Amino acid sequence: MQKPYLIFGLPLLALLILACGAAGVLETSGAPRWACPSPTPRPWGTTGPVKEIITHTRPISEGGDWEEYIFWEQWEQEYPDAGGPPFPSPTPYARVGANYTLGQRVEVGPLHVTVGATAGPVVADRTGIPDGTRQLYFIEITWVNRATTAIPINYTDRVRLRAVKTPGGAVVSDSTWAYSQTAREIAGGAELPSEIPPGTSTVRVPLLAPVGQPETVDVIFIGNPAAQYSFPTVTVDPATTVVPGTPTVVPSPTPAGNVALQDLDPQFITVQWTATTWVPPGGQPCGDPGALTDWGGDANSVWGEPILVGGPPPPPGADRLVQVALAQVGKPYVWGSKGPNTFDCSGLCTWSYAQIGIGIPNGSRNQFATMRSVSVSELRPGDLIFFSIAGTNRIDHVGLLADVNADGAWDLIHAASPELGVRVDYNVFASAYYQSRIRGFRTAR
Amino acid sequence: MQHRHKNVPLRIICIVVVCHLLVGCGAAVTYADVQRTAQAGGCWPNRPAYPTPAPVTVTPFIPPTPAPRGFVWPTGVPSPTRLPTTTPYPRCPAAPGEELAPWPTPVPAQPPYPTMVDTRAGGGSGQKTTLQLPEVVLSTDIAVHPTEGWAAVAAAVWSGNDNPERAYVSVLNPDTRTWTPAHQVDIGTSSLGRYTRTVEVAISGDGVVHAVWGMSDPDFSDNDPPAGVWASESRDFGMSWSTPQRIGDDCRKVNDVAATLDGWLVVGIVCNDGSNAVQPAIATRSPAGAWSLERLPGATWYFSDGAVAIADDGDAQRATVAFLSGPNGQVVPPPRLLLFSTVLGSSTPWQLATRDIDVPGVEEGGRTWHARALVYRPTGAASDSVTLMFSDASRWNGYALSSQDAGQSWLAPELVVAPQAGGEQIAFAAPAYDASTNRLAAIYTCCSMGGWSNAEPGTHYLRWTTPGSGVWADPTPGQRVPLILGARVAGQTVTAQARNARTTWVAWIEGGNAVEVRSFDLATVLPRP
Repeated sequence: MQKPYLIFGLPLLALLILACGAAGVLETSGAPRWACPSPTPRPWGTTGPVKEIITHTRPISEGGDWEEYIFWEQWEQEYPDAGGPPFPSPTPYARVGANYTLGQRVEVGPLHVTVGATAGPVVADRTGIPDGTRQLYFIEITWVNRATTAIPINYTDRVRLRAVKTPGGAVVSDSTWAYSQTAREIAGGAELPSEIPPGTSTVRVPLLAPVGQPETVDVIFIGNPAAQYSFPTVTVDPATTVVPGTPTVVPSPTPAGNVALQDLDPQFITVQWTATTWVPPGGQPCGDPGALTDWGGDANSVWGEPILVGGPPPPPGADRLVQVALAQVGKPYVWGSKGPNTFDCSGLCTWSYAQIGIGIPNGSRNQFATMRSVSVSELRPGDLIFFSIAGTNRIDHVGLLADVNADGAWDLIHAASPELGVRVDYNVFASAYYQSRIRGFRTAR
Repeated sequence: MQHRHKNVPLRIICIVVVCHLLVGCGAAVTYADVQRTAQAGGCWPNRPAYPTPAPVTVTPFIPPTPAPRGFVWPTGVPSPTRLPTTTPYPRCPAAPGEELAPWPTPVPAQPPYPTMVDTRAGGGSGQKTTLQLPEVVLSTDIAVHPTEGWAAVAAAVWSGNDNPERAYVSVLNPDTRTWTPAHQVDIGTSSLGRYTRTVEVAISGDGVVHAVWGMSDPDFSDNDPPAGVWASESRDFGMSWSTPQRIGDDCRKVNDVAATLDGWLVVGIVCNDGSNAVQPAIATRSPAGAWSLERLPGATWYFSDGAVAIADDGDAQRATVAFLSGPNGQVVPPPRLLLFSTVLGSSTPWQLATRDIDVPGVEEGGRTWHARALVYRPTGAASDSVTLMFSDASRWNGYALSSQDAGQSWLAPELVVAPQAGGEQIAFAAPAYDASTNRLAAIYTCCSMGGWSNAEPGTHYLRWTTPGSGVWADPTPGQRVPLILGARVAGQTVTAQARNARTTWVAWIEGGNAVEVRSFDLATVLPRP
């Protein structure tokens, strides 16, 4: 028996499904990222003040004397006491990843997303919801859509209250606390939009969850390396702006055929904002909500407050080194691993130094044997401290020194153990455990 | 007006020399080489292995309305002029025929699932859940009710810079067949502190879910935060938890906890010995609820891993607590197992037996870790069997050590699985048993560690043996075929199984930030006799 509706209907349905999939919902092509802006924006380069004028003598026949104008380098303005440029970038702190703090503005291209969360009233007198068991919450999202087209979004699928802190202090986490019609009816207000328009927009997402305070919010993106958006043309004055490498999306190569391996699901990227006060390593909280991209041409740009890096004056590049090492805190310890996702103790040191362009030996014993010895009084941030955890004279552990909390005491940044991962132990010289195990210091200066 | 150009000829020479070094000699390019090239050429070479840091920000400020919780309003004064604060070096243009690598970091394409659907005949799942917890998952554990077969899963979670880590437990309610929200159990003074990585769960026969956790700050001399091991229990499938009880002082790391039908709990712990060294310890809870902690002799180290098994020896319940050990932080080959055993409820003190992991044909070496225990009863046997599995942090092998008399004696250690090629990492191997075929299986991860933020592909595979034969095989002879559980960036992997149950539970950390839980019938993936 012929079923013409099947013949025509099924391909049409498949086409619709494909079309929906291709349209994408909250797609991103870039890894989520965030940064504290430059701490000390001062004019530099040819658009800034003249640093020095050098008069050169020259025969009149060749044009006569001439003056050479010297302008400030960027690092001279931003790190005047550093003794040299932090290499290769004076970035105060940048982070690429999926975990941020409520209030941080994160770039998830082509969007900037700022997420906040507030607790609303406890639900009462509502059929189907026992009194006092559910509470209204509001997820406040500020979108900045740089693309010229709207981006589809289904708030029920894409925004979650991931965790709440109960009145007893415990955090409870679930995957089901999302926007619903029931929450909207209780909260009042209109339906949420189905797309994020170009430019700036805000949305307030009501949802129901157990009683408490909002702890963590998820926004779930679909990662698509090939996603492309059209952007408005930005006129950049080359005389005043240095635009670093423009993002260039190169399609991923087609994976080699492997019939046993198939990827049928989209790649979900869950970006989380948690109710903590996030402090960039070595500094105070960033006064600016962050995000990375210089979208240019915005005369209302504002920069954050200076970030203090405490402790003794660092050698050139050392603050960058310390930042690099501190950025690894929390990563796992894997014996023999040299980074960047896992480290052992010497691997953390070798990898961190490599990031600032300095090669030091692999292995704690090699480092101890070949690097320049330095006394306690000569220590500078980034110098290495060596231990015998076993209590012998055999070197079996190494870490980096820095004054992370700016209290004047040396702190230890190290890949401690498989159980502890990369961490900071404060005031290492006052630690009864570590102090007796210290075997010496080495420097790359 | 003129820019100063110093040492132009030298710059050209540098470019030529460095380019020659980079291209001509074929020597390994270091970050310093790339750095010098950038300095000389004024742009950053296209070297994907040596990226620059992310470009620095100039952000248009858009105040969120209303200000979200935790948001700190900037006090900076708008700059009168817009200033570029970007990385000093733009990218070098592509050379003819060269393709620029993406920059800044694009979304990396994730490894593929080794699956078409996760219920394929070669594996698949019955029950499943995903814990997408706040922040990054550091460790996980799973337990199953000894007769009813429902499960509880725990995770230690990193909680950001200024929060302590947290321990969460989620339970499969056997009545509703739904998973409860993941509840934090380490509340108040029992908070894990910042540096713990250990929370373990067990389910006793009365349906009580037990969680035990410890903080593991090695600087136990300062007691900040105080080192300790805590326990709590839930009698409503994880919806509420008892006030945490401190069961060990000056102890830090909980290796494993096992429970019996009649309510015994046995916990393997790493403790301080009071003189800045560490020692194994065992906490025991009687069915009446009384905890006791016993510190035991035996050289171990502060991150020694271990496992606990409680087996029926025909007359009584015999507990075995294993510690993977090297003496006091030194790795002295061969690695060694400390095996403490006693009969629960007896006055017999813990008996220590040591066992070297010295496998014929395997090069001596590495430290062992990631231990897991399983108790099972082969048909017709007079007592339970016990299998301990663990892996090797240097050789990346998986091993098994088995007892066929409930832990009273142990067979020779067996090599379960080894990497097939350089660079492969088999970090986790966990046991399972199919009573219908009397086959012992190892569910292992391969071929990367699957750590935090690590997108390298790693999924689950399986090997099997007839207990006692010492011969391990792939289900498809000679082929390493993925076990279809759905992992593509598999990290720590743990298993649990009620004694001789058809259903095996597997939990693993997926992609560093979620715990995946699956159950499946082992008989569907093992070859029939």
